[in-house]
Amino acid sequence: MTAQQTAARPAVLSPSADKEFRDGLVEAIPYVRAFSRTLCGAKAAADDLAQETLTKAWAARASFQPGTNLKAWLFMIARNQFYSEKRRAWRSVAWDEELADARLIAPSGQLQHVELGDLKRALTKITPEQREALILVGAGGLSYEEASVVCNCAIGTVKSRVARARQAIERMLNGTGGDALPARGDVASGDSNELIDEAQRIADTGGAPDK
Amino acid sequence: MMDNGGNDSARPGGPAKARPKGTGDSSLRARQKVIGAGLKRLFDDVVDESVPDDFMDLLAKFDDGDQGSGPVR
Repeated sequence: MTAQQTAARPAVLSPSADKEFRDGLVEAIPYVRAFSRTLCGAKAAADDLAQETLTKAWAARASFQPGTNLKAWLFMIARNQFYSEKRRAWRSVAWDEELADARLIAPSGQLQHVELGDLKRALTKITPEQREALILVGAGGLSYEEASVVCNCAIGTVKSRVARARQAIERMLNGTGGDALPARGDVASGDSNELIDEAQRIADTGGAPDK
Repeated sequence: MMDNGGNDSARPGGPAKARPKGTGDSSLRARQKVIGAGLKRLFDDVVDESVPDDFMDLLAKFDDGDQGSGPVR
């Protein structure tokens, strides 16, 4: 396996195909930004990644299969780009600029609710693989199959990661199990090293191998 | 064993896993639904942000400079 998946040869598409692709990119920008934010956490770094992703996608546009999910294809490029550069994922906390988020989320008809700040903290405590799978499927609207392509793993693996992520977050938000959330405000100090190590490990194994 | 007298701290299920997880526990399902909605909200918050001008500038550059012949940067 090489790291060349997204480095396509010079694209030769008809002008109309180019325009169509470009329109697709424009529509996808908000989603690429959102997915990049989940990888990088901080807004500025995420937007840099999103722009790199779009640039790479444009360069590789001839290798995109029309009719397939452009969003998923862009997520894959973003992810490869993120891990190939060994950026430090979730160094402190994701969505760090708005961590103290007390908005309550309760779907209609539900008595249960969750504070978004608590959910963000919980997301920092699961493994990057689980987080990524959960976000792609649970928020990004990808099918398990599409997510498996993005993550470069089997569909069953995505399913089990999503399930484990959901269980872990549910336990944390309910304060049961051994891994309840730490007190508000001290998330980033100690445990983030573990996450960095894990992100690094993924970069070494699952992402684009480079020695 | 079906009747637990409305004890609000009782956790259904116990050690025996007779049924698939989540299907017999409506409260767990409800919590998962809430988590799902929260995740969606976190993601959609960013999706709903207005796209910074940089992005449209970048795509405009694709249009002008990179059509067909692939110029060296």
